[in-house]
Amino acid sequence: MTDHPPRDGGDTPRHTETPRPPNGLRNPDLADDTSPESDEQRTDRKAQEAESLDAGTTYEVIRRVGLRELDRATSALLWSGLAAGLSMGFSFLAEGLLRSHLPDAPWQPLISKLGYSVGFLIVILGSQQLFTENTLTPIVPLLHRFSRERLRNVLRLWIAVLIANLVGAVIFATLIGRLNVVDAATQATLSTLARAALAPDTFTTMLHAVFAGWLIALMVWMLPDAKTAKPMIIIIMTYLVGLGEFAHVIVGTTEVAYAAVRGEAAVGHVIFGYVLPTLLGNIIGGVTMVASLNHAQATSGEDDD
Amino acid sequence: MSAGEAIIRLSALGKVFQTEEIETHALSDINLVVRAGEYLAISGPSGCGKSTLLSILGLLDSPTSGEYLLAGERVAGLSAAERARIRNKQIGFVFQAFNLIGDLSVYENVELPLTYRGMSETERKRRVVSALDRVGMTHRKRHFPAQLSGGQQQRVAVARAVAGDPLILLADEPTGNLDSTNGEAVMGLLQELHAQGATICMVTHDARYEALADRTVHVFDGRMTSAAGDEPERGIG
Repeated sequence: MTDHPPRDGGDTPRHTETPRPPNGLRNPDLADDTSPESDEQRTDRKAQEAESLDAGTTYEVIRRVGLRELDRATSALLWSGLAAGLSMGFSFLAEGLLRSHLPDAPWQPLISKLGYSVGFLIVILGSQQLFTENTLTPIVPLLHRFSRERLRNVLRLWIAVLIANLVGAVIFATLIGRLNVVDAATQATLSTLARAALAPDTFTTMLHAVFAGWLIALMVWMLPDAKTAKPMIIIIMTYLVGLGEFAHVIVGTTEVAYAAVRGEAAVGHVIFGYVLPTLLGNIIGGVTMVASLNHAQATSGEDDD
Repeated sequence: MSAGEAIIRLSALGKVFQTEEIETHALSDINLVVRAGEYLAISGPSGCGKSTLLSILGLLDSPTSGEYLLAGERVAGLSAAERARIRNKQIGFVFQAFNLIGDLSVYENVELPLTYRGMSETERKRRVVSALDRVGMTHRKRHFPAQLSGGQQQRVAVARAVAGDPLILLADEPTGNLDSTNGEAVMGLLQELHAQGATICMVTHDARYEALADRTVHVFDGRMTSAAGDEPERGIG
């Protein structure tokens, strides 16, 4: 390609000598020393800002992803959901492992709650089906064009993914609760975490779950534009869920099922005192605080531009 | 627009960045005309203002002085929303980093900008198929960006840029993230598009690729220092 003749027949001087800066103009090297941001950096930043997705584009991307999810066969959703339910157990286990190796100090949750992000990283980067992600993704196409058929399809997806996630969570809890996967000290720590999850009253649990559902759906909203920052966004948002002790129905089910498996909590209390209010709270947080608000924002034409 | 008609006309255009007490003249007294069917290269060293110039041409940024006519319309003082509307309809972008959306397939990436134009699905499909065909990526339309090589991703980005049938294609270092083989393939593609009548304005610091254009303008320290092959009115600023 380098020997390709110029279109104008070659009369154009192609390689001019680098000109000297005209008198009185700034020297770019010196300017860079005094300016906090160079012209090129500023221009690149502006271009990146212009290229970052506005609300309307994010909405459209999520709508298309949602339509693809709704097209998936129930069997595929069940297997993917089961994988996700099992994977989410690692949030519980990683937090327990970190906590069991840390002293009982006020700052200890700041480190141990980093473990809470592990399951989310596996599930989201591994493209597994997590129920709380689906409080946004398939809801956007439903809000975009409501029909009974689409509503049935959303419910099919929700039920398949939720059941599979819960089954996976219970299997994981049974494995670490019944088998010697971790040492006694870690098992005791896991029991402490499970008791902490069951401690709040039903209303408080649901309120915590609204915030968890809100944060997880917000994270899903942010991911289409995240590019290489995707893992960081997942870590930050789910760390916040863990640190705030906001109840997440799948991680939380692993926790409370662990307590039930070890005979430390009644099954009725686990289901009615934790799983159901958490499920309801997660749905409210995801659907109302993120899906509906962003649908309204995008379809009313008030985007970031 | 018919060949030879001015698509872009810049007169005494300037851009000043002000940060706290520092006033930086990024561009000064830029005079330039880009005509329909032309292939223009903008070159210059890093920090010279060429990317700032391309951002203004692409309505990603506004000048602080002078006049910018795009297809005869004054665009310098338009609102951000109005600039976005014109950008979507009249300007195609090819960026160094491709800027494809990872969650969307090749087909969807090319189709996405067209959805904001209120086009029918049939028309969108026709344009997407045609654009992918032009860049030789039809067979990859169901793939996702992560499944493609850098060169293939840039071809998709070019398809996205031309699908809307823009007045002008702006390319900012389109080979910057590619190895030499893929870089040459992308430059070959731009040449093919130009041969088909596309108007192209490309920022590059690579003399090999600069040589492929009809005309090169050199920018140094915020000023155009040469506008080779141009008429006096489009000459040195």
